[in-house]
Formats: sequence, C-alpha cells, structure tokens
Amino acid sequence: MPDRLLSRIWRSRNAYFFICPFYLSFLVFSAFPILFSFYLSFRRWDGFGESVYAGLANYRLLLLDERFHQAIWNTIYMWLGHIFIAIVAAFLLAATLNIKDLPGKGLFRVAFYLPNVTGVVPMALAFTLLLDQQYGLVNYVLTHLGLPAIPWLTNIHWAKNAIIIFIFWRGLGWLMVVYLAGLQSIDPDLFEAALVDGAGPLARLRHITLPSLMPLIGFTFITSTIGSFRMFTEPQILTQGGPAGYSTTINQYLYQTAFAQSQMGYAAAISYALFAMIVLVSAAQYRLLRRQVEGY
Amino acid sequence: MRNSSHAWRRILITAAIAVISALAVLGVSAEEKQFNYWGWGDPTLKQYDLDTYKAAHKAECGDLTMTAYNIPNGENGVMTKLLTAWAAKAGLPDIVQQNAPTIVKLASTGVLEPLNDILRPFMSKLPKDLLDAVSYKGKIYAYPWRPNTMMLYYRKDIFDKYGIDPNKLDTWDNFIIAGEKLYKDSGGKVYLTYLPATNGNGQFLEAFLDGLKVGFIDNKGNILIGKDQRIAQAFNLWERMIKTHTAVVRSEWDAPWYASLSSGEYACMISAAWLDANLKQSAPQTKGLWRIMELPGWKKGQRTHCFQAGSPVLSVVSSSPYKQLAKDFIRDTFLNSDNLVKRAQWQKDHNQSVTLNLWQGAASNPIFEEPDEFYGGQKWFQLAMAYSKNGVNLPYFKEFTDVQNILNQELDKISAGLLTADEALKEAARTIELKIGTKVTL
Repeated sequence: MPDRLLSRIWRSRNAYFFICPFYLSFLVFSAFPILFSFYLSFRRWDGFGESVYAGLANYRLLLLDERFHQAIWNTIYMWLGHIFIAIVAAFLLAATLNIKDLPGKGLFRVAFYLPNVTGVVPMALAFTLLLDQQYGLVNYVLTHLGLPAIPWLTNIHWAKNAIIIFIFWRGLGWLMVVYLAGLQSIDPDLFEAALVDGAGPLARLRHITLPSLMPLIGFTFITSTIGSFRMFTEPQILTQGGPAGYSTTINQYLYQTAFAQSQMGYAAAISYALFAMIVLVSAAQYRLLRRQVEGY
Repeated sequence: MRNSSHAWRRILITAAIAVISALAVLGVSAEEKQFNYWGWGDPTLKQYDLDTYKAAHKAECGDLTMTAYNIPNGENGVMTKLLTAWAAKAGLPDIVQQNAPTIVKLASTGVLEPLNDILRPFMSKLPKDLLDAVSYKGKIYAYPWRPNTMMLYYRKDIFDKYGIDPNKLDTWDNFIIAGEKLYKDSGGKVYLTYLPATNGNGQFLEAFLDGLKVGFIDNKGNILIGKDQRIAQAFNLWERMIKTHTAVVRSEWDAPWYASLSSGEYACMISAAWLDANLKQSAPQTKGLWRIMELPGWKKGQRTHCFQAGSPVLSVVSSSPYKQLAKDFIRDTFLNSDNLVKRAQWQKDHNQSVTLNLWQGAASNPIFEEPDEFYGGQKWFQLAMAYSKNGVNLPYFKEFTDVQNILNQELDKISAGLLTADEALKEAARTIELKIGTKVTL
C-alpha cells in the first residue's frame, strides 16, 4: 500500500511542486507561529533571553488581570454598540438604493462604499482631527449650535462611542453592498405573485425580503463579530486604548503585553483566550442563526 | 521528445535554485561590509557623525559602508526590530539607539557590549546617576549622548498677561497656587500646564519622584510602590493638579498637540531638552515668547534637576564584528570637545537645533554660549547644561518599563476622575505584585 501511495505521489509530483509554495508559506507563517504561540503560552519569555517554564501561570493570570477583563468589556461594548445598528442601517440603505428609478443611486452607492476602500489609518488620523475637543470640526459645529463641546477621545465614556461611530461609518458601505447584492438576487416573480395576492409593502418585506436575505444577514453578523473581536487599528490610532485603558481592545492589550511590556508568554495566553472567545461566540451565533444562515 | 522536455525542465529548475542561492550568499557577504546605526528621528545628523568619523579614520574603516537608519515608530520600533533581529541572529545593527530604561533588560540578556573601557577616563565629569541608570552589574552598557534634561518651558507673554512671576514657581505648592489663580483669572480658558491623557513615557511622574529622590525600587530590589510615602506624595500632586485645574488633560504627539504648542491653551510645559527642536520646528511663530527655567522642587531652595527616561542612549551590540570601531566612534563623536563644536556648527549650518551634550568639556566654547532668540535671548544651551549638572535619575531595572506602564495607567484613572490618588496607588501596587512580584533581581 505505501508503495502505491508513494508512486501516486511521484506521478503527481509536478502538481505538488506547484502547490508547495502555498503550503510552505502556510507552514512557516501560519502553522508554526500558531503552534509556537501555544508552546509559549506555558512559558515566561521577554523575547531576548531564555524562556522559563511557567505551567498554567499565564492562564491563571488571565483570570486575575483586571486590565484584561477591562479589555474584554471594552471589546464587547464596541461590538454590541455598532453591530445591530449597522446591520439595520445597511439594510435600509440597501433597500433605498435598490429602488428602480432613484436618481443618482450610482453616485450614492460609491459614496457610501468609499470609506470601505480607503485606508483605515489615514481615515482614523482624519477622525482624530475631526473629533479633537479643542480644535475639531465636530465640536466647532456643536458649539455653534449652542451645544457643549464633547471630549470625544479623552473621556472614558465618549472614547468608546467615538470608536463605535468610526467603525459604523467605515463598515456601513460593505454591509450595504452585500445586502444590495442579496436584494437584487431575489426572484422578482415572488414579488409579483405577492402583489397579485394583495400583499402590502410590509407583508412583502416580512415574508419575502427578510427571509431571502437572512442567510446574508447571518453571515455578515458572524463575520462582523469576528472582525469586532479582532479590532486593533481603530482604537490604536484614535485613542491609543485610553484614557485609562477604557478603550483598549483585547487585541490591543495583546499587542501591548507582547511588544510594550515584552511579556511574550502571557501575550500568547491572551491570544489563545481571544481565539477561544471568538470560537465560542461564533459557534453560539451559528447555532442561533443556523436556520437562517443555511436557508429554509 | 517527452523525456527531453522533462530534462530541460529539471535543468531550468536547478539553474533557478542555483542563481537564487548565489544571490543569497552574495547578500550575506555584502552584509559583512556594512556598519549599521539604528535610531529614530532625523538620520541626517547621525549620518554626518558616521561620515565625519570615517573621513578621520580612513585606515580603520577601509571600504566599510557606514549607514544611519531611521527606524519607524521611535523607540518601540527600534526595540521590536532589535528583538526580531536578535531572535533571528541576523540583520543586527552595530550601534543601536534606545531609551535608557531598556538598557538593563538588554544588557542582562547579553545583547549589549560594556563601554567601561572608553568611558573610564571621563567618568568623573559625567553625571553619576545617569551612568548608573544604564549600568548592569557594575558595567556601563550605554552612553547617554543626548541627555533629556528636564526643565520648565513657559510662555512669557501669558505669564505677563496674568501677572505670574516665574521666580515664584519654585515649589510644587506654589505651582498649584499659580495654576488655580490662572484658571480663575482667565475664566477657565487657560491652564498653567497640561498632563498627558495617555501618559506614554511617564516623564511627569519621574520629575516628581526625582525631586523626592525616590525610585520604584530600593537598593535591594524591593518594589516601593504602595510602601513609600514619597510615591504617594507624587500621586497626590498629580491629583491636585487635575482637581485645582492647574493642568488640563490632553493627548500628546498628535496634530492637536502640535497645534497646542502655539495656541496658548496652557502657559507652560513640564518637559525636557528634546522639546527645543519640536518648538522651533512646529511652532516657529512663537519665537521670542518662550523661556526656560528649572523645574520646581518640593521644598524652597531645592529645585528639581533630573533627566527624563526618554533620554536616548547609544549602545554597541555584542554580536557586532566592529565592536571596537563602534566604541571608538562613540568616544570620538561625543566625548571629544573639538568634534562636538564642529558638530554644533554643522547643525547650525543645516538649520537644526544644536543638540544638548552630556559631555560638558566644550561648554565654554562660544558656539554654546550664544543667546537664543527663540527664547528671547536666553542662553538656552548654557542653562540646559547647568540644569544637567548633578541631575538625578531613577534607578532602572529589568522590569522598569512594566512597572512604569502600570503606574501610567493608574495615573490615567486619576486624570479621568475614576480613582483618587490613594486608590490608584493601591491598585497599582496590587497589579505590580500580581504581574511582577514584590522584589526584582538586580
């Protein structure tokens, strides 16, 4: 049997030769770091000297580390704070931009999608200018309307909300495009049949549009959740995780632990904790939305 | 036919692998003739230093290519790159610029080369605290080429407008009194100073602790956070500055911060020598409005003279094949009075702020005694050098930056009004004990 397998492999050697670059780079840049991180999570290492075996100390520290708990809370707050609003807003936007004879809809589609294709770093930098308490355009408008200036990026409550506003604005375009594609793929005969049966707009929405779109909504809900848990660039640029760690996400805390504090072992443990959280949340979502995601 | 095409394919693949390998070997060979200097900020001065040294030492340098690199993201970027290169044992520089608090950690893991041999003749004339801060087990591992001497930069126009006498800001208590008065007189529009929203490099806390002559640890390595009343005093001062509106909390190193250098949002800055270049570049329109003075102290007649931990220091990497050349470069560039004068002249000719030097051997040269119009004719250089004499510095240890990060986060909580100074200190002590312990190894 091994001879037959080996001879089959040998016969297909050219194919393996062509696909091996991907697998080699996967092994070097993905598989090895994943396995090495797991090994490191049981050790204490500052990146320079020898690592020392630490057993479960890093995982025990996760349970006691208040900053890590704060980071989890911040991440969940920012995830829940934007996701439902974003999905509803994107759906309404897609439905509006799907209207047959809407003038300028091409321009609107581009305008809403543009933030999604622009680099996140320059946009976040622009937002820091817009939201500055003393010099920002947003507060300039607010104060001219007789409203108080808001400490968007320097207040413990507003910092997270500022990040939510940014990720909502940036992510809206992508969700809109996905839902728009979904709306355009619904068989128009269904709507015609519903019209013939006397179904009004709300009934058509409830019985045709939403059920047809549910797999997409479920998919975007899960992928947006995963993206929210991995959030790093937005808080790093806007608030550097402050003030007082009140906008630090789990990924940011991982980065700070690894590269600012040189605690590689503990950072590896944080990464596995994050992985476990993402898997649990995604699995729970999939279970709840299974019917909708897989379709009727 | 098929066999010959297979043969050609094999020949082509073998030839490609051979060419790639040859290029890789050539690359490695080329690397051996490079002398690399990693740092952050404008590399032109560093390159001038290397070029000057090479021109004066042609025989030793031979055909060596000496290059200064500006590594992005400042000291953190340099540290990350150094860490990666050390782990890979490839691509390491010969000289690396770092911040003083990281030196003990790097030295303890064998990354750096001791510099005692070149510094010995000069040690009696260099601030002891600053050299101790970059020493490990009795050996000095870095040279603080540009000491970040701390000082108070104040806006004379704002002080005059609101009747603040700078000579009266001699103690932190008087500083707070002046701050309260300024806030009231300006109708809440102007603060005396600012405290950073996310206190990245801890320079303010350091200034307070240096004045109290206390660090994070005692000489046996016991962590003093939560145990020494002087640290509580420093935390309480931070809290008082916020509560009395002496200081506004704002972000640093972003566009709004640069704008605030000229806006008059605050009347003075607790800062260090590095701010000179930033002010001149980013707020040239405030020329003539700024002045400098010593930091206040905790008691009358005891002003604070200290160095900010962000002091960039130069070290020689232990794996460098040009260790002696690197050490000679440091000595000849930064401990030679004639070269320091030429360097200062080059900076002036290229519209750069003259760098403050640790070595005061050239201090009496006229180039360092010129009045600076930016500071209304004050002799900035002379004053900064005077403030550097007998300056104190917190003792550093391997876990210093970890402790500092924890303290900074607690200070942020005081700034945000979440915790009182005492609560923040208790929380800091608890977190430090959890993550680091109660004692460090010296």
